[in-house]
Amino acid sequence: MRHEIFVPRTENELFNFLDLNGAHSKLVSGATDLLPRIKRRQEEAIILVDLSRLGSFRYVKSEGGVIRVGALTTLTDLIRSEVLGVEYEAIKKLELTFASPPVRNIATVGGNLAASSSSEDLIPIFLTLDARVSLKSARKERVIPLVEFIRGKRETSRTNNEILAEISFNELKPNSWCTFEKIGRRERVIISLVSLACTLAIDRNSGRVGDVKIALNRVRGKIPERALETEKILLGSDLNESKLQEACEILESELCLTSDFRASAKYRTEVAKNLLRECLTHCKHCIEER
Amino acid sequence: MSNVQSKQRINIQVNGEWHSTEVEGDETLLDLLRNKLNLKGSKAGCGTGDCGACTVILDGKIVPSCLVYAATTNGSEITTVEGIGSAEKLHPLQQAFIQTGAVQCGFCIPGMIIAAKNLLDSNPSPTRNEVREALVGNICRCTGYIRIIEAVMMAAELMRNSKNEA
Repeated sequence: MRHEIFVPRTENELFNFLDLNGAHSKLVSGATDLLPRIKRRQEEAIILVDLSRLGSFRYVKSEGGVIRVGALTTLTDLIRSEVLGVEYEAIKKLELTFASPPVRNIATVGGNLAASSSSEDLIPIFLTLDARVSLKSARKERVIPLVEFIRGKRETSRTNNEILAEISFNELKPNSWCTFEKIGRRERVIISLVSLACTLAIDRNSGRVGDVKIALNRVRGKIPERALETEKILLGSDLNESKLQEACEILESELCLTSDFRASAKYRTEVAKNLLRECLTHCKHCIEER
Repeated sequence: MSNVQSKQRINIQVNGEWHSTEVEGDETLLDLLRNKLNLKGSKAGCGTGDCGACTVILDGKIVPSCLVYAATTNGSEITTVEGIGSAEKLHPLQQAFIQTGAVQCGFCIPGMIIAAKNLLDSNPSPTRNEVREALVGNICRCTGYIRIIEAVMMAAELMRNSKNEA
């Protein structure tokens, strides 16, 4: 199907256009998700608004203990940003797990979140960082938790005249680490069968879990979500073997993974439990080694 | 409804030469290169950014040209495989691909050359593993990759040697 494209050069041009045509438009930047969907006729686009020329939404910066990522930051720029230290391993590892170098050069952080599907690697990672998103229109800007932004499969709380402008999260405290694991049918350039992100903070005095956040793709529905019950059981523990075992059992009862043409629910559940154990142990080890 | 024009005029520099052309809204950079500029080196493979056959250098970065809308490239500099070496004087990468027998059907090779050049421009002495990583987005169904990796390693050496001689 033929479609038209509008390439705004300034924020003014963009917001004026969205005020008039937002309801009939789809926003893209790298278009790495939408264009293949259009080609496969899974998506209809009448007018595309390509944001890739708007440099003002492309940055990674740290301000007063908060990391701010412009929504049009490419995956390459996010991964290589010097603002993010080694403890943001979940993001650094995307160099190995997220698509290929040419795709990472055009795919954007905002695009990955706004695509809002189970296969988007950034959603579980940013969920465990307790990220907030900023939605901007011509007249106002509102900041909401990422968990409220992701409403369902390919459904977000963005209105027609808004754009996803920024993702922000509090800097990790000392004694913290975040990691990400993704299992697919091959090692690279693949959609995940199961992925798990985890952020762990160890209390300096007690050596016990001070904070833990775990998110998986496909928890209950078709979008990544936090495993809140599993987190609860781990809080305050020393992550010994019996606790890890218990956490795996809770995770299994909490998950409602589905079977599809890629993998069975049983396989996904076993992998999720293994990833949980692996990620927690790894985070703890990395915190202790620092 | 909208004030979008279905055709837009853009100016782009391809392999050092400026072109002014009208593009449709749904025209990709790959369509433009192959169909309007008659540069058939970049190949149309999967059309979804997975195979790497259409890889070009856009403003210094490798991109899948099948996923870039032509209308967004106004003012950009693009290098395709046609801009690397010449029939009279091959680029060391092209020389090495021939010498190692890294080319079978040849469909993936333009993308391989572009991705490899991008690697060697920033890392003149890559390890075999770094070469594998750099080519992770380029699929080859013939060679099994071994000779392609050897070719890039050889090209790196040729380029280092010619730099030392100069």
